Amino acid sequence: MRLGLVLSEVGQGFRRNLSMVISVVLVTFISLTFFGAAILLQFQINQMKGYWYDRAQVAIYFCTDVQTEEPCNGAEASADQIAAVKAQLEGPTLRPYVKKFTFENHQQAYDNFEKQFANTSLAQLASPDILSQAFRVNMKDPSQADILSEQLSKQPGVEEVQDQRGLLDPIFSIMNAASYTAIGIAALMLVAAVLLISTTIRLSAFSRRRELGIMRLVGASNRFIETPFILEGVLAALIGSLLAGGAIIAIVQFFVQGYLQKTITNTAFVGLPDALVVAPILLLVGALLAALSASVAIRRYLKV
Amino acid sequence: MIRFDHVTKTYAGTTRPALNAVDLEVLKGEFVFLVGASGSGKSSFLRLVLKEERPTKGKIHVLGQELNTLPARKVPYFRRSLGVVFQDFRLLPQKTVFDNVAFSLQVIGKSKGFIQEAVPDVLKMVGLAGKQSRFPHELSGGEQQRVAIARAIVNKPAILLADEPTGNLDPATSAGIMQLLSTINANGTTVLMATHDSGIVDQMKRRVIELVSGQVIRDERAGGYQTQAIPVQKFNLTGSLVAHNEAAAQPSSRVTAAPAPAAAPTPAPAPAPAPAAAPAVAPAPTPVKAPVHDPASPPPLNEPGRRA
Repeated sequence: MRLGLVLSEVGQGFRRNLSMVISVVLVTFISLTFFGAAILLQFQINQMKGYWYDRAQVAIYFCTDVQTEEPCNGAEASADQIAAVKAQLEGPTLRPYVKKFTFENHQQAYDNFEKQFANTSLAQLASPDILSQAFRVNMKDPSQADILSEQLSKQPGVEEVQDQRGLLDPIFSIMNAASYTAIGIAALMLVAAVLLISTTIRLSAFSRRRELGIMRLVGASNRFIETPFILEGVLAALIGSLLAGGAIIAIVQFFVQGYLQKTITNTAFVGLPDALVVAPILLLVGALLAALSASVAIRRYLKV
Repeated sequence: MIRFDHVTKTYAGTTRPALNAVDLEVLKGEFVFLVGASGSGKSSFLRLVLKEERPTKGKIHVLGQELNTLPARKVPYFRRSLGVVFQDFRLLPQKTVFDNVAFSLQVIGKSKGFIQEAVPDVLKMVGLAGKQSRFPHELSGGEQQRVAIARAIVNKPAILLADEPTGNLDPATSAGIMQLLSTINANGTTVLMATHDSGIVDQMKRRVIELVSGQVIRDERAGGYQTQAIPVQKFNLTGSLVAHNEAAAQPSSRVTAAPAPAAAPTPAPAPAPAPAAAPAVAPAPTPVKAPVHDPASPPPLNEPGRRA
């Protein structure tokens, strides 16, 4: 009985200012889509970090005779020098940090290089003797790569100790910036959504001020009076957040998985499970914001 | 039922109080007219009883509740035991007569069965049986006011507040409304009615409380619209002057006397001689004045007069 009454009030409110309700739906839809995209980007960054940091190695490159600058001065690293580095890696100081390491000679380096840059002109330029021999070290904890570089970069015959994680950092910072931008846009749009919802509710209350006056006069409880308005705001926002959730799932399914994943095969991308985590968050955020702004907006009409 | 203890109401931004140190008590089952010029504080009085406003000073007790300390969330429940009727009816134009009355029960959570039973009953009582499915704009003013009264009393309130309920109606229709209010009062509801309609007040011979500039200058049992005795209940120095001038300015008052109780030392500049011993508060005066019009036989309840 009462529920039916409340719902019919909500329906009336929707019909009375349909255009405002539509604008609430659209604004929440767009703002929450941005919000969801920002969350997905963070997921993507974390996933890529996990993926790449696991695989990231520390490479200890040895001098080749084509390197004419310091510290090599055009001298190929000798077998003794390489053995000394190897001894260090197996020695008591570094042993605890190193998971495993492999040696890569000129030919292997060339093979890897060819594989990596197959079908590009770079592959034709390279030859085995210009590619450095190297130890490829997997650390137990990738963030401790500095220890290797401290210990080994001054060793004779070592050209460079390179932490491959450093190569990834620019990518991650670009993605971070993108996700912060998305969050910023989302925040602005959410402010707009909140203001729009409260305006809509005020308008709706104004068009029903006769009923409101009589309700207050005959002693309808505040909760009874405000519920239809809050529901009106929440329903409009929920429709918007449902659309946003749908958009997020569609983006992940058709753009990320259907296009990016097929084009860029050597990276893991966010998948449907991630999108299914984000969608309920959007629903919750949308509903909460709407309920809050609607109840603040209606408060003025409940003053006794 | 209703008690005001030294209630003063000053609206923000004004210096003159709308009600000034009002002391009065309305008992259960009374029918009280609240008379006075526009701006004399009648509506403020009603709004204070409803707790739509809070007094600046003083205490108000209604139905055993002290309104100053009644928390805001309990106000709706308090209002369920009050009925209110206005000059402009305040019906919902898109709802039928039945729905208008039912609405006030729906919004306080009454069951459908209760509504189906109570609404036809009350509509019959106010003389609108058979007009359940009409819309307000299809009814005369008197009938609309009956709908408003039905809405106000359907929940069996202990007190009915009426703010100039006959202000928009012709005399014959008004008489019908007054008969209805009398019936409601006879059934045990305390009725508090603010009005300008001297004919009605004179004819009904009920308790009359007159307000001038926010002060009670008269509280008379079975009184008329204008002073016929000297029943000044209470006033202070400035009040006496106001009251007096008011009385002097009313040439139609036959018995004009300076309201000067023994306590007030100021000699009132009155044309009439001030009696040394003022009459007791609210004596039953003999009505001297004839009513302005004589609706001796008001139309029966179920035929509420012509269209307004």
